[in-house]
Amino acid sequence: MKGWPGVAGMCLVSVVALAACSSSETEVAEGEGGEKADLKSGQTELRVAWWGSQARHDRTIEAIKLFEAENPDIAVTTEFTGWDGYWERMSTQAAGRNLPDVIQMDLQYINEYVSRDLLVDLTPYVENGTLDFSDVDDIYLEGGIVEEGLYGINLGSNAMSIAYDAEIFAEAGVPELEPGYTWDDYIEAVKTVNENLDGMYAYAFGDNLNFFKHYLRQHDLWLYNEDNTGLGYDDDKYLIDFLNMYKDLLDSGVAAPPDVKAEVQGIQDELIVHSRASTFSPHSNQIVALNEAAGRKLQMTTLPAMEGGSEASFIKPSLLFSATSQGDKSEEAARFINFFVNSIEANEILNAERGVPISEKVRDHLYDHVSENTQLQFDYVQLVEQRAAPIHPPDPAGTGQILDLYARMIEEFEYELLSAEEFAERFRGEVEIILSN
Amino acid sequence: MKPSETIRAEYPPNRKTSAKWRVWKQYLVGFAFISPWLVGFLGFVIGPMIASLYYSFTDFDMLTSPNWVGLDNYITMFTNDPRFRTSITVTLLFVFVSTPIKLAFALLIAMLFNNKRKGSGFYTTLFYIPSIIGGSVAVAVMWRQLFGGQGAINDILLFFGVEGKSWIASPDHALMVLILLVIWQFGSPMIIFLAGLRQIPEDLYEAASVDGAGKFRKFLSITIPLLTPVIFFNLIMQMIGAFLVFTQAFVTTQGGPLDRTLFYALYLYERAFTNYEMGYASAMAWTLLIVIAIVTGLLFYSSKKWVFYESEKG
Repeated sequence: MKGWPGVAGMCLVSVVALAACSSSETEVAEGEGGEKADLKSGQTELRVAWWGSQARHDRTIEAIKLFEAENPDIAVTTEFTGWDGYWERMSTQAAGRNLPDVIQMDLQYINEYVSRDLLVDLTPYVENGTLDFSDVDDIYLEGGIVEEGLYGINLGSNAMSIAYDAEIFAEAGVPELEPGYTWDDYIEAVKTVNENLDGMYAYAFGDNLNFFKHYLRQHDLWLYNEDNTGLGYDDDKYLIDFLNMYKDLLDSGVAAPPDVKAEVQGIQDELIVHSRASTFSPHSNQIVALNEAAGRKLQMTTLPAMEGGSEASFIKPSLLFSATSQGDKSEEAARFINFFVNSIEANEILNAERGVPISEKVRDHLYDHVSENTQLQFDYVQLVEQRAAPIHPPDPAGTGQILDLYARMIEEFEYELLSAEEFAERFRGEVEIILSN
Repeated sequence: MKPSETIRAEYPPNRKTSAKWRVWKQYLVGFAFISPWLVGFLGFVIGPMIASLYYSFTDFDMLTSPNWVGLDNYITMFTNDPRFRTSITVTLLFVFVSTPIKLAFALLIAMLFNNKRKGSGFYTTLFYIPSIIGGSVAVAVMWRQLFGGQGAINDILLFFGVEGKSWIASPDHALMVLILLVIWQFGSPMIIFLAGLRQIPEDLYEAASVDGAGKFRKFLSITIPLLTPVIFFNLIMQMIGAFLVFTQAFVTTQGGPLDRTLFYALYLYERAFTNYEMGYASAMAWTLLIVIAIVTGLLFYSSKKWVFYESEKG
C-alpha cells in the first residue's frame, strides 16, 4: 500500500475499528447477572431489572419464582447489576428501544425518565383493580407521583441513617450517639474514637451530596430552586461551611483518604464492615445487607441535628418499581408490581430488604417474622417518622450529572487542588449550566 | 467418454444468455456468498456511521427527536470543554508511551523465541494468552485488585520492605498502571514479529558473521531493516488500538482519580450514556476518527523514508 490509496485504506480500517468500539458493549464488572426466561407456548415474557446487593438478588429471584408459579402465563427474565453500571445499562437499553418491562427506579432518576416518556402512568391499573392499594396509605404512594401521574410504586420506605458500631464506641470509651445529637457532637465523638483507637476511620459525610441537602434543610433551604433552574440557596457560605467541616475530618485523619475509599466497591467492602471505621451512613434498608456482611449487629441512629436549626429528617420511598413504555406489557407489569406489594409470601422471602413494606397488612404480618436486623429498620423508620419533616419534590432531570460533578469536585477537594470557596463558586456555575439544558 | 464431454453434458451452454449476463451472474454469485458479511457491514457499520455523522450536527439525546444545531457540538468541544482537553491529553500520553514500549517488548520476546529452542512453542502460546483474554472485564477486575491498596503487588513490595499504596487510586500512578496492563498484552504484535523474523534469510546473518559483525551489529543492520514492514504494520495497528482504549479504564479506574485516566473513549461513553448527549458524543467520535486518520496518514507518509520492501529497488 502506497500513497493515497493506502491512506484511504487505512482510514477505512480505522473507521471499522472505531465503529466496533462505539458499538459499546455495556459490560459491568461486578454483581451482574440474570437469567433468560424459558418461554413455553402461550406465555408472555416479562423482563425485570434491578440493582442491589447479593442478598437482594437472591431474595428477588426466589420471589419471582413464586410469582411465576402463581401466574403460569408469565415467564420472567431477570437482569440485575450493582448500582454502578445500572443506570448506564438502562440508558443504553432505552436508546436501543429495548428497556426491560419493569425496572427498579430511584427518586433521583424518576423525573428524568418521566420527562423522556419512558415510563407508563399506572393510574388506570389502580382504577381497574390490577394494582390493589386498599391496604396502602396514600402517603406511601406520593413519592412515585410525578406531574399527577403514578409512575413509580414504592417498594419500601427508608430513611438516611448513621450506622455505628456500639462495641467500637464502648472500646474507645465514647458514649453512643443519641437522636438529637448535633454536628459538633458527631465530630467530637468520631475524633475521640479515632484518637483512642489509633486511626479508626469514621463516616465523614462530605462526599455525600445528600448530607449537604440535609444540612440545607436544617436551614430551611433546598438544593434546587422552585423551577429547577439553579441552586436554591443564594449564599455560598452554606456549602463552604459544610465543606470545611469535612476538611476538618480529613485533616485529622478521621475521614478515610481517597485511595482507601477507592477500594470500597460495594457494601460488603465498607470500612465499618471490616472494623476499620466506627460509623457509616446507610439508608435504613441497607442495614440488613450491612449487618449480614459484617456478621455482627451495627446500630442505627438519626443524622446529626443542628442547634437551633429545623428538623431535616424525612421518610423516603427507598426504591420504586416502574413499568416502561417501550414494550406493550404494562398489564403484566402491573400484575407483577401488585404481587410485590401485596403478596405476604413474597414479602416473607423479600424480608423488607428494600425497605419497610407499604402495605399495612404485610407490614404487620412481617414484623414478628423478620430477623432482628430487619426489625431494626422497622423501628428506625418509625423513629424517623415521629420526627420527620415533609419530603421535598423529586430531583430535577440532570441530577445524575450533578452528582457526578459533585463527586469529581470532591475528589479535587480531597487532594487539596480546590479550596472550599473555589468549590462553592464552581459548583454554582456548573449546576446552572446543567440545569439550563 | 472424454472428460470434456462429461462437462458439456452437465452444463449445457445456454446460447440465449448473452455474454454480459454471464459476467453479471458471476458477480451475483459472489455477492450471494458474501451477503452475510455485506448485510453486517451495511447494517452495523456503514448505517450507524452515517447516522452518527448526522447526529453529530444535532442535539440528539437518544430519546426525543434530534434538532439540527449545525457545528455547535464541534465548537463547544474545542472552545468550552476542559474535560475534552483533559481526555485528549491523557489519550495522547497513553498512545505515545504505551505503543513504543509494547512494540519493543513484543520484539524482544519474539527474538527470544525465534531460535527454535525446545519448548519455545509452548512459551509462545503462554505469552500470547494475555492478548486473547486481555481486553476482557475479568482481567481488568483482576488488575484492579492486584494494584489496589490491599492487592498482591503491595504484598510483594512489602516482602522487599517497601510500603505500598493503592496504585490505581493514586493520581500520579493510575495511568501508569493502565499502561502496564496494555503492555502486558503484547502477544499479538509478538506473533506477527515472530513471523517476520522467520522470513529473514539465514544466509544474511552468516555472511555478516563472516564479515565479523557482532550480535548487535546484525540486529541493527539486518534484523531491523528487514523487519520494517512488520514494524510499520504493528505500529499502525497498536496505535489505533491505543487510541480506542476503553474497557481497561472503564472497569479499573472509571477515569479517576482526578480525571487522570479519562481516556477519550471513556469520556465519549460518559457523554453518550450518562449525560444522554448522543449528538455531542457523535461529534467526539468523528473528531477522533479524523485525528486517527491524520496520525495514520502521517505515519504512511513518513514510511517512505524508513520502511524497506524487498520488492522495491532500494
